[in-house]
Parts: sequence; C-alpha cells; structure tokens
Amino acid sequence: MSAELGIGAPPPRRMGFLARLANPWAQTRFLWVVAIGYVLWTLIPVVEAVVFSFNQGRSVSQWQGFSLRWYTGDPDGSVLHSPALQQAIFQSLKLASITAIIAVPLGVAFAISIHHWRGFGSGGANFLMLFSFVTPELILAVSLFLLVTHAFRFIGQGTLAQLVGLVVLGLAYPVVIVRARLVSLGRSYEEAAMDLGASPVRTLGRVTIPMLGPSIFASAAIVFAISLDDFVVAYQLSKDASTQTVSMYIYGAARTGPTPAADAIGTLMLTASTLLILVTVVLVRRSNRKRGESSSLV
Amino acid sequence: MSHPNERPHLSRRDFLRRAAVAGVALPGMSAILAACGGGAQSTVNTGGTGGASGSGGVNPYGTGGIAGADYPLARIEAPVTWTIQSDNPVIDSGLPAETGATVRVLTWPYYLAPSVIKAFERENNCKVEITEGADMDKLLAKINSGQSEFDIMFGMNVWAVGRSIAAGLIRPVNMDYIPNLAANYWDQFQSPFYDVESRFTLPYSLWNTGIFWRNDHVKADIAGMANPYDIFWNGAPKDKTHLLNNAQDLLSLAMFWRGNSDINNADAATLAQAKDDIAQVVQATNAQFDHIDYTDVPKGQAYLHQSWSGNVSDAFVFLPKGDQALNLSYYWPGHTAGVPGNVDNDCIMLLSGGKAPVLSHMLANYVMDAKNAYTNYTTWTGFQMPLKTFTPDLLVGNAVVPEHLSSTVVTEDDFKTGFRELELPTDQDAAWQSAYAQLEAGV
Amino acid sequence: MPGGRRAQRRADLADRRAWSPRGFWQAFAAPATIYLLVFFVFPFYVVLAITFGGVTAILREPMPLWNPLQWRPPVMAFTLSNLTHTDGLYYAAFIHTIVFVAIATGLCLLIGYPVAYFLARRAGRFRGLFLILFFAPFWISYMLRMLAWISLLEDDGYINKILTGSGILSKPFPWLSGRSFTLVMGLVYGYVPYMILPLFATLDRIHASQLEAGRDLGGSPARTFFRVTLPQSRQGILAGFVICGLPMFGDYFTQQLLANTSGTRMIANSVFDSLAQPIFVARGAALILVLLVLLIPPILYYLRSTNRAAAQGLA
Repeated sequence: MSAELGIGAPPPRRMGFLARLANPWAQTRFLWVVAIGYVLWTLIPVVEAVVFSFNQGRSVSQWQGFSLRWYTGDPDGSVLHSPALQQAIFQSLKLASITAIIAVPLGVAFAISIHHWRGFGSGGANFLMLFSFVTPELILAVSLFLLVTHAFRFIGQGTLAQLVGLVVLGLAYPVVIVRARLVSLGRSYEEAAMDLGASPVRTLGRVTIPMLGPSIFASAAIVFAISLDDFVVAYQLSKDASTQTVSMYIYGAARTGPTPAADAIGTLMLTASTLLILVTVVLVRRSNRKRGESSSLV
Repeated sequence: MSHPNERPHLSRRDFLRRAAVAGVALPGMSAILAACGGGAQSTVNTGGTGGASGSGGVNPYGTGGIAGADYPLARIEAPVTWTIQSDNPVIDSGLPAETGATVRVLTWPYYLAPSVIKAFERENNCKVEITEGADMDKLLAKINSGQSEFDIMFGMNVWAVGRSIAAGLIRPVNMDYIPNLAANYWDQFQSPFYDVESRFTLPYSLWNTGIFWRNDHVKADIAGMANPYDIFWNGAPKDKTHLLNNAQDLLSLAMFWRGNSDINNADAATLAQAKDDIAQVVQATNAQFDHIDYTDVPKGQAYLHQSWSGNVSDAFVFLPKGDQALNLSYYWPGHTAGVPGNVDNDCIMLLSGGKAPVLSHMLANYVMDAKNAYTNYTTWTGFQMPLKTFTPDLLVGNAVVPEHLSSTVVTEDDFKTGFRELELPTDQDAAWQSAYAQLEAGV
Repeated sequence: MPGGRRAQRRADLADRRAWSPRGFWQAFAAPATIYLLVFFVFPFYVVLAITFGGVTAILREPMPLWNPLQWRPPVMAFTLSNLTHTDGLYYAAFIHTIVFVAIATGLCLLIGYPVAYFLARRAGRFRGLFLILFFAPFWISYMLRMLAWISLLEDDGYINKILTGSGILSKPFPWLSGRSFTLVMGLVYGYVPYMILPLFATLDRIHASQLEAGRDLGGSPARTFFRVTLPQSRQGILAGFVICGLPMFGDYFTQQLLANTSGTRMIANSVFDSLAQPIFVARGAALILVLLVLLIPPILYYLRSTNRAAAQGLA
C-alpha cells in the first residue's frame, strides 16, 4: 500500500481526539488568541487616553462629552493656551533631537571601531558599553544628579545635564544596531575596496557608511523615540518649569490631580512618534528594496 | 555691564560653590571653611547635632528666638529679628522695573491663579514662568540647589523660614514696593514673631488643618464629637482613609489627638508615641499619604482625609458645574472646646538668586492687592489670605464658601486658639524626619 | 588550510595591520568610551564621596569628601543594617522588590514567550503589522499608559463600571489602594515588551528546517517545542530576564502611581524618598551603591554568556 502512495507523499494523518489537541492548527489558533489579546491589553489604555483627551469635562475617568477643550478651547488648561504644556512639548522634542544628534555619531563610530578592533582593550570598551545598557536607569540618574550638583556644578541641573544623561542612555542603541548590521554585511565589501587600493578612510566614507545608511537612520529614530519618552533621568536632572518634559508633566499631573490636558499632550507626542516610526519603516524598506536585500532593519 | 543691584563681590556662597567645582581634594576643607569665618558651613557627621547658638545672644543671623540650631528659632514668645547681611542688601527704592525680563516663580501646584499672573505680565510687559514643586522639601531643594535663579517663592512654611534666611537664600524686602501689606493685611502680620519688621517675609495664605470627609459614606457626627480626631482611630474607613504626607502635620495629628498641644517641644517619648499611633491608623486602614484631597474626596477615592482647609475649597474647582457638594464636610477640631488644632500661614519669599528683584517685589505687591487676592483665593487656590476684607460674613454671604463648609474660614481669633508648626532644633527635626521615614517605610 | 586556524588568524591580523595605521580603529571608539568614563563611571566615585562624606551645617545638605582617607562609615553602616534587619527602614522594601520583580518577570516570560513565538513563526504575512503593534509601547509614553490605567482602575473608571455593571462585584474594588496585585500587573504591563524583544530575536533565528527535522523524526509539536525550540531560545530567555527584570529594580514611579502605600514600597522608592530630604541624600547614595553591587553578578553573568554564545555563533 505504501508503495502505491509513492515516495515522498506525506503519511496520512489520523484525527483522533488527542491528535486534534496536538494539532498544529489548534496551536496556531491559541497563539492567535494570545497575540490579539496581547495587542488589546497593550493598546486599549492608549486608546482610552487618546479618547479622553477629547473629554468635555475635567475628569479623566468619566466621559462627559466630546470637545477640543484641552487642545484649543480652555483658556488656562489647553495646549494652545498653557505655556507650561507648550514648554513641555518643546523641551521633549529638543532633548530628543539633540540626544540623537550626539549619540548616533558616537555610537556608530564606536560600533565601527569594535567591529575592526581585535586587540587589547576592545573587550573592555565593549563591556563598558553593554554595562551602561543594562544598568537600571535610576542608578544612572541618581549618580548623574549627584555629579552635577556636587562635582560638576558648572553643569548643574538643567537641559545640559538632561542631555548628558540621555546620551549615556542612548549610546548603546546605535552600537547594537550598527554592529549587527556590520556583522551581517560581512567583510567582503571592505576587502574588495582594499583590493582596489582604497585607504581605510576612503573605504569608510565611500563604502561602509553609505551601506550602513538605513541602520544609522533607524538607530537615530530609535534613540529619538526612546529619549522623547524618557522619565527617570529627565526628572532627576531637571531644574525648573523650563526643563520639564511631557513625561514629567504627565507624571506630575497624575500625582496631583490629572486633567485631560495630560492626555492631550501625551496624544500629541504619540502621534509624532508614530509618524516618525512609520516614516522610518517605509524609508528603510524602500532603501532595502533598492539594494535588493531582504527587508530587515538589521 | 553689571546691574546696580548685583552683589559687587564674591559672596561666601559663591566661593564655596567654586571650590567644589574645582573638585579639589581638600583634606582640610573643614579647617578652611572654619577659617573662612562665621562657621556657616562646617562638615558635621550625618545626624550629628548642630552647634547651638546663644539664645537671644549675639547670633550672626538674627536676634531673639531660642537655641537649638546655628540660627535663632522663632517662637511666639521669643520673636526673631533677622539681620540683613552685608552681602545680601535690600535693593534701592524707586528703581524701574526690569524690561523684557522673565520672573521665575516657584510655588505649589494650583497655588497661583493664571488670570492674575497673565494680567501682571500684560501690565508690566514681562514674562512669568511658574515652576511647581509637590512638597515643601522638594521646593526647598530647588532653591538650595545653588544653581537656582528663582526670583520669588509663594508658599514657604513658617518652619522653613529660619534656615532659608540663614543660608542666604532669601532677599530682604524693600517695603517701599509693598504698600499693600500695611493697607490690606491683618495687624498680626505686619511684624510677625518669625520675622519682626517683615524684613524677609510677606504673608501669603492661611489655613487650618482639619478633617475632610464624605458625609454620605462616613456617617459619624465628627463635628459633634468630644474629640473629633477620634474618627481616625475609631471608625476610619478601610482603604479610603488618607493622611497628609509630611512629618509635621502627620505626627502632630497624633499628638493633638492625645491632647498634647506642645508640638514644637516634643521629647523622644512623645514622638515615639505619636509615630506608633499613626502606625496604628495605617495598619487598620491601609492609609495613603498624600495631599490631593481636592480630587480624591469628591471623586470618592478617599472618604476621610486629614486636610488643609484650602484644599477643601479647592475641591469645588474639580466638581462639575452646579454640583453643590452637599456630600462634602469639613471640620476643624480647634473649634471644639478644649481640643487643640493646627492653624498656620505661609509666606511669599523673595529669593536672592533671582535676576529680577524689582519685578519680584512688584509681583508680590500685585498678588497682595485686595482684588487680586480675592480672585486668587476664590477662583483658583481655595486658600484664604489674611486680608482685613475677608471676613466670614463676606465669604459665606457671597457664596464663596458654602454654609456647610464654613469651618474652612480662618479668623484672627483662630490664631489665638490654634497651634502653629514652628521651626524645630536640628536634632529634633532629624528625629521627626526619621519617624516620618519609618512611617513611610511601614516600619 | 596550511597551519590551521591559528596561522590563518595571524595572516588576517597582519593583513589588517598593514592596511590601517596603528590605533586607527581604536580612535573611533575613543569619543564614546571617554564619554562613558566621564559620565557613567566617574559619577560612581561621586556617589562614594557622598555616601562616605559629611553634611553642611545650616541646611544639612550632603557634603562630598573627595579624599578616601577621610571617608566615614556611619551612613553605609546605617544603610546596610537597615537593609538586613527585619525592623530596618529598607528591609520591607527590599523583600518586596525581590518578590515583586521575580513574580513580574516570571509573568512577563509566560506572556511574552507565546507572543514572541507567534511573531517569529506564525504571523505570516501580518508580521510587519504585528511587529509595529507589539513594539508600539517602545515609542508610546510610559507615563501616558500609566495615566490611562489609573483612569481605568479608579472607582468610577471603566474597569469597575464593567465589573459592577455585569454583577461580578457588588461595589467598586479599590484597585489603587495599595494592592500588590495592581503593582505587579503594572510592572508586567510596563516591561513585557522588553521580554518580547530578545525572545523574538532568538526565536526568529531558529531555522525552520530544524523544526521540520524534529517533526520528521517523529516528534509531536509539543515535543519539538520542548526539545528543539526551548533549548535554542535559552539565550533569549536569559537576555529577557536581564533586560526585562533589571530595570524593575529602579522603578519607583509605578508604585507611586498605582499603589502608593507603605505595604508595597520598593527599594527604588527608598532611594527616591531619601533624595527629597537633604539629611537623607547620603543614605540614598548608599542604597544606590548597594543596589549596584547586588546587580553586578547577574549583569556579568549575562554579559559573559552573551560573549560565549556569540563566540559559538549562536546569539
């Protein structure tokens, strides 16, 4: 009988009760349930916050009608009319962009270096970078706070200190992303350039960095997004209202009587971040397609 | 180009700051500092005792007060006159306001009406930037950071005034810019015991500390009880009881409950007893420590809250329009015969690190104007000011304060029967903070 | 190859050195390394100087002592004894932290693993969409999501409305009154994406052919999972524990927002509250040092095992 079925034909399956339980289709259905459930659990609070930013009244838990009060209407508490809210948005954007501008070049240079450097010290530098990545943020925030208030008082609390802290936090991301990309790219391109007589600097500028383009952009987007929402470091190192970020504002509001205005600026930031991520994904996909590689960020 | 009001030479504080910047290992730092004069900043081991200064003797910071810290501690029976230091003089009279400046204000949340601030900005062509701090300690930390360029603070408790003045953080007041003090304010605030001649402080808000509850959930007749504080120990609702989150108010609650009104002179045994009493309440009710009663109680997150009277008025701001809030009740136990209660005020402080001293004076005077103070109180802060025009009849009559919450109105008589939280000697203060830390930690 | 791998490696090195001047590649790492040394490593010396330092007189602020010979032990002694004795200030918070983090990380694994597995192997053509949806929390403000949870969990919030409306509860449950359950779920909610990320990365790398081989050899899907998939995802699980669990030790705000009573305090709250009082700042600094010392072994273990796995070409 098996001879008649022919070589290579899959053996017939028996769908008994136990077999149905072990059925991969059943397993997939379970996973789909988990996945959808997880998405709902993660995103329903976000939807709630966005919806309540349009609440007519002051409550963040009771729906009192639709209104743009907290965006434009309220003369004291709306984003349009409250200098505190606008300042928070501006500060968040400022910190995030400058952090990305500083951290990405430093990180990319570090990644390129580690990739080529095999000798003494590379392990140590690498270890330091990874250690800074896994250390809890509070430890970093408190030590920097003590640093700028007792040792480097010329920095002091404020925007500069916040930037210093955020760059420490953000450094590891470009390193990890670019390094992985370098590894997957392999040495062939550089060796080809070398064979053609290019100096290391030229290879770097003409071959390596352009090929890292999408990864550099992606790591900049990630550092920006991470810094935009940072709380612990920004809070500990802030000086006054001018250095308050959106996260700090929402935290303060949540602890002293939140109004939908907090939901409103959160929603605005959320929109900005989402747009940024979507743009990144689209750009990276397009550039990868141009190079004819499989679509992956790394 | 230096402003005529800027200090012309390097002050003691600036020197220390720069020495720290050098990060130089100064093995003899304490020796150097002691030699620098005044013994103002010397290294003391943590938790050690502060050097006691002579009571009423020659103290570089001021005269009067009692001993217990490096600076005089003000008491009602021992008022303090602060010395204006040579490196922190009063600004000249008749100066023009700074142009195009930003006045940096430090205050509590919901403590300055935006409408009043915006009007000030328009009239004086300046910008006012408000930074909020959630608690007194955080507010003090912001001025102490040494970096601060805050110009003015609204709401410093009387018990923090002494150390701030002694540390050189406060700018002395030029009364020529502040006619509203004499014109509008109660007599007892013209020259208060904690600052004779009002050299450094101006009065801001008043309050009493009492009991705030939802009468639809807590049915006891708290106002009628022989000892209203009893409600916290007998009948406080579980999970719905909140207490204030600072050492002074929390521990004095327990002391008042036991009939002990001498809260500024508590010995170790009394303090330990107070701490245990509060721990008992926390144990029984799972109490939280906060001061957001103005949202918690109307919303029903708390049914019983130890509160400042101003927060009770503030609760109205958070209610939907038309809600009369008949389910809210407030009572100050000091109104019951023989029961001690806390009554207090806080201050407007001009800060020495500020860059706009004239505008700061003007802002203080502006907020102390009768009409502006009324707006500030009734539309935003809920905290009453000691203005002669704010009588209970006026306030209840104008429906500013509903009849059933009239206990929130503080009168001049209340200051005679109530008890204030004053600045404690260094070691006692440390003991109170430690007790509070233990309560926070659940120990 | 003649001479084996060693010879080849020596040849490579020689090639590379001939190609680039000495120190060329090291120079690129210099800026970032110096930056980390100054702003990551040096601050720990400041922490030491404050922990073992003194206090100013009037405001009783911390005064760092830079000379190690002058360091004084009382603050560290106080902190250590309060961490280890049952009636110490930090003991309860310490125990809470360990228990809460362990439970929360375990739950993150239970929830995160199926999600990561789904994304890696079952999402099919929806993979891109689910990638964005699953990792959205990384760019959505944590505070905004916590504010939303507070709104949902309040007495008049939707969760209580649904529970009382459907009759499951007779009156609203005080979720936000210091419940460990709320706090742990808050931690899980906040940090589960950090568990999913490394798990996904690892599971994604497992080649489909290995799983097919397992099945062809007669294994049921369950057996294939336990014998092939799970062992290969070991590195991802370890990474998940570290990246997801370690940050929880520094989390004070979740407790403050969701469960603000002494019964749920975590060690990060002790640190945070110490910083509010000038006389206690040194204690906060001491706690930071203790925390660092305690977390170094797991961090080192993780880094070592990452290196080993990388050397074996796995991670």
